[in-house]
Amino acid sequence: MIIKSVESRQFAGLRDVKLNFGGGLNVEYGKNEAGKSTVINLLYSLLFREAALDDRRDKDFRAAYFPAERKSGEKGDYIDGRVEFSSGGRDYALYKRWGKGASARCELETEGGIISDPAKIAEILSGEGCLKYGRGIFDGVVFESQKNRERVLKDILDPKKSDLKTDLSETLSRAIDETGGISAEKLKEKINEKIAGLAFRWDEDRDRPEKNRGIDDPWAISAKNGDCVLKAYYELSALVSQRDDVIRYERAEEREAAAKEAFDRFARVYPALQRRGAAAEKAEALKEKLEAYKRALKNWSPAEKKLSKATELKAELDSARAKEICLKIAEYRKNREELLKSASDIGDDEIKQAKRLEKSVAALKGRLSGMNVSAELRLAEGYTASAVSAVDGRKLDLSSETLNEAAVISVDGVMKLLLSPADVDIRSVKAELKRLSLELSELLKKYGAADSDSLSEIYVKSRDAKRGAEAALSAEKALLSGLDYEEIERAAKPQSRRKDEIERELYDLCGGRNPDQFIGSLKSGLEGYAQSYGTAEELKNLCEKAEKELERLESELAGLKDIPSEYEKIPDPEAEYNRLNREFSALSDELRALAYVKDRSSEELGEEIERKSAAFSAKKEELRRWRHISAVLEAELEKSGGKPLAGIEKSFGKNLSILSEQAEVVGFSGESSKLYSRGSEMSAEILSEGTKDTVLLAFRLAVIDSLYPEGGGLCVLDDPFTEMDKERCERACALLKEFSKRHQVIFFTCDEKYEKLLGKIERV
Amino acid sequence: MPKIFLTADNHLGRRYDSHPAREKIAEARLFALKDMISAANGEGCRFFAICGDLFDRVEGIPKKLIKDVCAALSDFSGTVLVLPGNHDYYGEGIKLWKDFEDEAAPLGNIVLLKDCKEYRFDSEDGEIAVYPACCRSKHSRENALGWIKSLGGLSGEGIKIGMAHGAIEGVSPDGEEKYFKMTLRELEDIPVDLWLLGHTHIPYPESLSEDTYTSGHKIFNAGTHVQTDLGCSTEGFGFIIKAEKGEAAAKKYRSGNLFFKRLYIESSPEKSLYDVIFDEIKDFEREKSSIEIKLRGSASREDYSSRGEIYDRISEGFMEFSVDDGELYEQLTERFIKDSFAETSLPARLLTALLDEPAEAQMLYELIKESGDAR
Repeated sequence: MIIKSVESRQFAGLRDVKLNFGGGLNVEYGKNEAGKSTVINLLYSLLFREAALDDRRDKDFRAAYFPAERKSGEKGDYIDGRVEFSSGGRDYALYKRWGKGASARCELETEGGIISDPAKIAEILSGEGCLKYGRGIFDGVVFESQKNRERVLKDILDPKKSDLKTDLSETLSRAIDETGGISAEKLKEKINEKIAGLAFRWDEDRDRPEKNRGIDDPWAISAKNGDCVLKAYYELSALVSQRDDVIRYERAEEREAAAKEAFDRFARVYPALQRRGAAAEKAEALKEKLEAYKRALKNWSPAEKKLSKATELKAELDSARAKEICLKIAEYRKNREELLKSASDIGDDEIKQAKRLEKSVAALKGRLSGMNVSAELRLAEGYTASAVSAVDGRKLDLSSETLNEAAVISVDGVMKLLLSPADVDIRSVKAELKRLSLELSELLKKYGAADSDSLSEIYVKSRDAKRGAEAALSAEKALLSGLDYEEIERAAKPQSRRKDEIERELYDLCGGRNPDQFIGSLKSGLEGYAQSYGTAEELKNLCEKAEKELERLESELAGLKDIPSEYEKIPDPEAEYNRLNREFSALSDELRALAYVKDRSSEELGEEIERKSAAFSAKKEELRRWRHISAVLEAELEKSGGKPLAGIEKSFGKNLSILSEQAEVVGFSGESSKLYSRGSEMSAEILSEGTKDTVLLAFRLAVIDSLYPEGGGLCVLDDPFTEMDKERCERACALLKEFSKRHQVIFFTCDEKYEKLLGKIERV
Repeated sequence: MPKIFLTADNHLGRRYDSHPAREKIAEARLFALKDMISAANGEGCRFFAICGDLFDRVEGIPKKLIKDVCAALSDFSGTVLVLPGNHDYYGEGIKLWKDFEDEAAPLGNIVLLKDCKEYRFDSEDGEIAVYPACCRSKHSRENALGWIKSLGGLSGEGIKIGMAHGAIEGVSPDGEEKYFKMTLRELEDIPVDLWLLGHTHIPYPESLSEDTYTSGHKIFNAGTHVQTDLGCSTEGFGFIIKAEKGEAAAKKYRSGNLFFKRLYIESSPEKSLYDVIFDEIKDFEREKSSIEIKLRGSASREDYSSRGEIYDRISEGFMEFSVDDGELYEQLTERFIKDSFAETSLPARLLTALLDEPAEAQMLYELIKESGDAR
């Protein structure tokens, strides 16, 4: 904020007064009673006192500043004032006329117009940097007053947390980071806006657009983000792509030209190739046909002869075979007959019966045997004995001392002794035995066998004979192979030579092949010829025709020999023609698609690309730099976050050290603060006036600097150095001059010495 | 002995889209061509040889320009030989050359060397044969000398001149080998008396004088006639060559009439910004110069805040003048910060913390000011 002028028609003792001020240091000199303090109060009142006065609240104000009784003339009945100031780049003029009710007036002239609504005026002014910190700060800091001096000093040094310090602390929590034109939050916001704008849809880690969306699928960039890395990237990419297209176009052009040339060259030869191909194909086919004709022609007559001969020999052979068969069959039949004759009807059951009978007989005999009698026969003299078997009547040797079977021992004329096992009824056994023996004997006799074994033999022989007969029958059938014997018999004619001779001749003729197959294939071959060619004569004609045609084709081919060697071996000219045509067309299409770059050159684009590339790098660098700035900001905010008054303490301390090496304030930003002078702690009460002035000045300047770090603050001083010694005064003036480089200082004094000390003076 | 004025790489029709003075630049390039024609006439040259890239490209060259170029060439008293280069390569269907031939035909003195064949010309000193190796594409790994080599011995008694366009090994960069690369040995092995080349924008040989003829060379590349852009480090020349059987002598002709310069200037507050810049540019021919300045460092407060005016003043008369002062900062000192802000204030603390980063201090200071002013 810069106060440009203050004026009044009537305010306390002031009449029609106007003071003009500029930025920086304003030194207003006026003698005592000139109204310097009144001007300060006028200024203060214009800024903070409402125009509409209240009897109680503003009683002192009225008393102090309304016109007093005059020795002569009427006293005035109003007071007013006007202050012109600029703030935030805008000019204002505030007019107030203090009074009660309707007599009060307040108007704010802005660049847009004049506002008279007090609430609106207050709103506008409180929004402006100069007044936004509130009256309290102004009271103690911007505007010094005697009344406030002691209070402020006490507040600075009071060990308990004072209201002033609390206010300052809160204000400075905001204002310590206030730039005067921009808050910390705003600054952060602005930086983040820059970053967000630059980094729009840009993946910094991968150094490419987010989701890799290049110029083929670009992100939309609004005007708001028009200055971003992405845009620079797209512009560069577009040019690079264009240059790539130019290169592709050039290459495609060359390839197209080459393809066209290749195609044209081939196209010139193609008709000849086609004709040649067709002719060659025809000739090839015709050659094959002709070969077949000739083969057929060559083979036809011999084949016929062979067939005739083979047929004849076959018939002869068949007849010989038939004869052979008949003889064989006769033999088989004879053999069969004999075998059948020799076979008997003996069946297997008779064999079993015979064995069973034999076994029974043996068993019976066994029953009668099985004795083991030991006897000694002693005969009286003149007697003889004999023994016969009771089993079979066989004479037994009595000399043996053992009998194993039932026996009848006869002593002539004496006795017959039947010896038998005790439990055998020898009579019944013998009867049975007799019966069975008879049966067996009859059975054996039937077949002329001696026993069951020979009966078995007879059976086997008979069986074999029968089998033999069957085999002979089977052989006969096999030989006939389903043919009728009578037919074969009829076919069998007398042969003049042997079968094997016929066979040999036939097989020689057939070349070792089966005659039937041989004859069959000859027949089918000849039938084929007949079907295909009709007759041999007709085939001959066909041959001649084909030869003529082939000659003609070969002559045509000879005429097409003028084809470049590179095309000689092309198997399929049509396919090659199409391939070349397709290739050429594809390249032409490619060229058409790229035609938009045909009159650009890669060299020209190279220059542009260089520029865009530099611009892209510059944008990325800008982003990187903003990120660094943001990081530095965060670090600084963190540092200052805990102690809002630390900055003031530092400035305060610094200012004090400039003004006085003796004085030192410690702990101002903490719960308590102490003032030391020459190392001894001082309280507000015992400070000298000069030191009080020093402390206050140091403090006020520190606060204003902190509240308006960018400058634009205001400090109004009313002869603040009166109690300072010369040296200190000089230091104070030097400090003030430095301070006034950043802030407006309005310095009222009644001492002309400040003209030298401060370098200027306005006499009012 | 016949004289030849050699030029190439004129790149007429180049657009210079990013240049505000693009029309002046285009005009200057054409004017320089006319100037060379004039010089060639003054020297009594028999031929005005343009070894490729007369035009910047094959597409999009305005017909009016073609007409103007042909009109300029028609002022030459001898024969103009135009060899298509890799930027203005020849092809049957290429409209540029069709229009060119249509314009040139009635003028009578312009020959477009588009075919791989010997071109014969009469001169006071006998017949002169020209063997052109013209470009038929923008890029090629092979040069176009093949047909000349295949001729073996070249017939005729007169002077034989080869004309080609492409990179010269050891002289011009062609890392990808796509610019019709030729070797000096290859050129020397072909039995011509003289080689006229184009493609390399800087002159070869470099040692020719502007005042006197220098002998001992057979291969000549005049370079571009006017500096083409910042990347081109020649001022623009043509060559005047006296041709003889088996030898030649040549001198340079300064044809360049505009210059591109990029200057990196370091500023400090000790010297005024104006002087710092002025010292760097005082010797330039303003109306012919396109200047790009990259300023860095710091300037006094006063200079910094009025730098726009300084640039305006200093740039007067230049064809183009641009300043990138993104790395120029106002000098912020501790003293200044102290004078501007209360010591314990956040701005003071921040700016002090950023004193080692002058760019950032500047950025922050401006933000603070801007926010303060906006109130």
